[in-house]
Amino acid sequence: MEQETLTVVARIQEVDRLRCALRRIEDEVREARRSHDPLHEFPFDALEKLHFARLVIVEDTASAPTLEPRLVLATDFDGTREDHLAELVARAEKALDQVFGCCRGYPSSGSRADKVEFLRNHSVEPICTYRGHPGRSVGQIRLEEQLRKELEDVLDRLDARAARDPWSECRRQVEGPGSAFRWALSPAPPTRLTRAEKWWLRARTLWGLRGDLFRVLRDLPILLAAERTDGDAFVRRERDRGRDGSAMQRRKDAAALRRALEEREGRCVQNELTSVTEIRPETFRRRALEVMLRIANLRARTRFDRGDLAGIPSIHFARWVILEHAADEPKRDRLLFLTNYDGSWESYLGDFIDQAADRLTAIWGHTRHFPPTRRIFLGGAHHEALFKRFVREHQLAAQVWYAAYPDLSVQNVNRNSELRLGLGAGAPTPEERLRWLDLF
Amino acid sequence: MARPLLGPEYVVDCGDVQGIVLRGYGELPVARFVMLDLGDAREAKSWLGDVATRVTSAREEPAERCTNFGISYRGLKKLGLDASVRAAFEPAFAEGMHGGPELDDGASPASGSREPSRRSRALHDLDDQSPDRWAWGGPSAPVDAILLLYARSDDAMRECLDRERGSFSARGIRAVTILEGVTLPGRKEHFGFRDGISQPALRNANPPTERPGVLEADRDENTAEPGEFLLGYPDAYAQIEDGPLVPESADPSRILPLAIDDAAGARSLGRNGSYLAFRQLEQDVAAFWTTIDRAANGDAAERLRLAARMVGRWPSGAPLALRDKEDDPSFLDRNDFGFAAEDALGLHCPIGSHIRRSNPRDFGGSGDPARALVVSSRHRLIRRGRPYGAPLDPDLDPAKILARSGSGESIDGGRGLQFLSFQAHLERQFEFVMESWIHNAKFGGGHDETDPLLGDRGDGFARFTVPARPVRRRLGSLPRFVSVRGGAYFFVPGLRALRWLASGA
Repeated sequence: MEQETLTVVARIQEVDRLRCALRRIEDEVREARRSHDPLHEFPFDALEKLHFARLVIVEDTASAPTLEPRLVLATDFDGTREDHLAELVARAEKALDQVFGCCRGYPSSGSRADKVEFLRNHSVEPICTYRGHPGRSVGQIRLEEQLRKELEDVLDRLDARAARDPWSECRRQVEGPGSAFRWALSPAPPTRLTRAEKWWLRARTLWGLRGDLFRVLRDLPILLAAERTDGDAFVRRERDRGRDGSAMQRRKDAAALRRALEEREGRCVQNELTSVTEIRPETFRRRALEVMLRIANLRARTRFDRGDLAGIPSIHFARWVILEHAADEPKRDRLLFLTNYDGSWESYLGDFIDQAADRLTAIWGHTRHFPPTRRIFLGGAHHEALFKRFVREHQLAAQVWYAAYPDLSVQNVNRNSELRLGLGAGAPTPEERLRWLDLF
Repeated sequence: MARPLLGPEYVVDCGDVQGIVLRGYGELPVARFVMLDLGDAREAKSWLGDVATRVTSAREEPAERCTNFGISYRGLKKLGLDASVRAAFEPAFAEGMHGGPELDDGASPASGSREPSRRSRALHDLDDQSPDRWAWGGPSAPVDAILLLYARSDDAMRECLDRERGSFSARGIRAVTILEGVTLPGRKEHFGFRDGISQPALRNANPPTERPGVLEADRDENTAEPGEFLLGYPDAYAQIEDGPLVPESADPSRILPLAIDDAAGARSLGRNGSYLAFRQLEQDVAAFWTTIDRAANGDAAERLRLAARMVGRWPSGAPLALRDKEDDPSFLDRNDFGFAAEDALGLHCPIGSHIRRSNPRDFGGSGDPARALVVSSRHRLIRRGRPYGAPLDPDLDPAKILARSGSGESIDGGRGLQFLSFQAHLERQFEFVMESWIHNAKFGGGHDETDPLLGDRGDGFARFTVPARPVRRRLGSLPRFVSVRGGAYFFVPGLRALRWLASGA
């Protein structure tokens, strides 16, 4: 089944009331992670197709913010966006009223259709998305994990006769009378694009990009010159900060922010990261950023569709969204990056830097306060300490974060699918059976 | 602040680095670790000045005894080090291993509530392992400084200890606890396995290596940049982390080395210093061998094989990656192996084994060995651990250990490992290894198991998988083998920095 995303962005009117409502929801979600009780405040768990959800107040992290705070509702789900919107309003109307009721223009007393309409009108299309286990529905992910546990038990109990051909024994158990796992023998839905679809997508994307690609190449000399002046400005600012005595305050602010983020991280296998950065105002910067992200979006579908993004094996979902300024705000746009990943922040950032520093630089190099870049791809994220500081300084702690299968890693999900696939295969050779058993 | 490398090649100033960082002092088998409370610290500086005269550098060949010194963030505060200087130490160091209340900005410490701190979550010091229950280093018995004493004999140690005790007690400084360190035959730890084999070699450092031929400096991938272990040198990312700087006015007698970035007009307190993570780990040797014996149905050869699968090396130190079938002492201390090409499935050395978790080498990530090696190289530790307590059996022989455990005679719990690791980044190195490798249930694509030796045995994590063909074996219901009794982070300054700390400034 196709996995989709929804990103609703609404300008906040009553921020204090909103924070209270979000805290109530989050407290319950956290508690349920331990107790496994059903959710009432915002019944995410009643949405059977929902992988991840977060509610986050997006605001500038810089000292002189120019963006009016926005509430962002971001979800990853199976099926179409229209079905998701309808289900969201049907199941969680009360919660939506509470949170979006604090935002401009929400039809609190309107009909459900009005509310769906509000969410649809306020949703923003991401410019780039990545999926770590494409095509796997929430139901399939959960069932395949149960299947693995069942098969592990079968393997633990093998007697001498069955140990001669464990694959057949597993298969027998799953086929057997009373087995709850017969579904595993039916073929899994396709998870990746076919070769032809990939070629079609490549052609379509590049054709759509042709004008901008040409302009980016034309502007390259300007871009390279801008890189140098922006880099110099960065170094100057660092120096001044060391001198003007603001360093201490800055450290304290950074420490407080870091603690707020760390307080939320590392509580289960998965974590969330929300980052908001300001896109540099020049047109050539914005255009180069968009081209990079559109190409990244294409690569995520054609090349990185097997569970790793440029060598990073721990990302369930990631999306980049461009947040435009409103007519009554200063002309500054933001790049919003949302991801759900496995393991610690330190290891995620380490992977980012060690595996994909070039690509990160080519994207975030067009946003303000990024460490100095060289030739678009170099410098930047290669400065490990500066880059980590940049990420922390632009990170927001999502007020509410829900995960449907918080104890499974991307590698778990993908390997479980391989298990199921190998079990349903017609008549594997002895070598194939051995390799299947190696998956445990 | 970290900056990209600009200058020439740097040679490590071994004369200014404390000896234990670059040498293991293996020739000095007796050790004591004195955990200190500086009291009201009125005379702490004069005491420090006295200690500074005895501290041995990495350049000096160890004679009869060696003294090294480290200080915690709390200790630096007591010495009156300016808050703006302190702020440049790594946050993990400032918070301390327990993640507790030594914060400058008045933020409420995590330990006040019941919630475990960020540090405790990274290190899995949770529930019955939590810092509130530690014998030392936790919120109830904080530590300001550590003296690391090494001697050739018990007598030499007694003399050394008496002298130090005389020096600090006369100045109102109290020992919170004095921990011992011993050397067991074959340089083994209490479970009976040779320890401390894999150590990174430092580029541009000369003299050290206390065991020639052990450090495989010849294998380039094992050679680390000095900045991974010492502040003020280029690290693996070619950045130089200066650590804390002091203005020139605060160092009128020019004791400290200049900061790398001399435009800043500052002197470096950090240069040639290293962070020390110290943990007292108690080992339940009887539980370890009884559990394994049960899994092996009492078969002696199978018992040894299973234990070696958990460790990743045979008792002699021979790595399973090179010697799969049985122990072979001629492979002792061999460290020239990887996992990706030779043993991707862990059929020789299980993926979840202790040595693979604590240094996955060329295995991991998306499967590209060269890239995995780069990732591993960002998280190396220099380990200087020493066992403590009498071994359960003098020969560390599993059969005799089992006989003693089964005899009903009471076995005191006082044995384990004083774990010491040196690094320039606590969070990126020591804590990363603990959080992302040792205690990570998803390590190497796994599901629900943690390190077979150190692992936390929360609900459903008491397993260990031994890959085999056709079918892997899963050991279940493992009890806890290792418990934390105490721990702290220290900064082990360069010798000049130590003299500056002791000076009146």
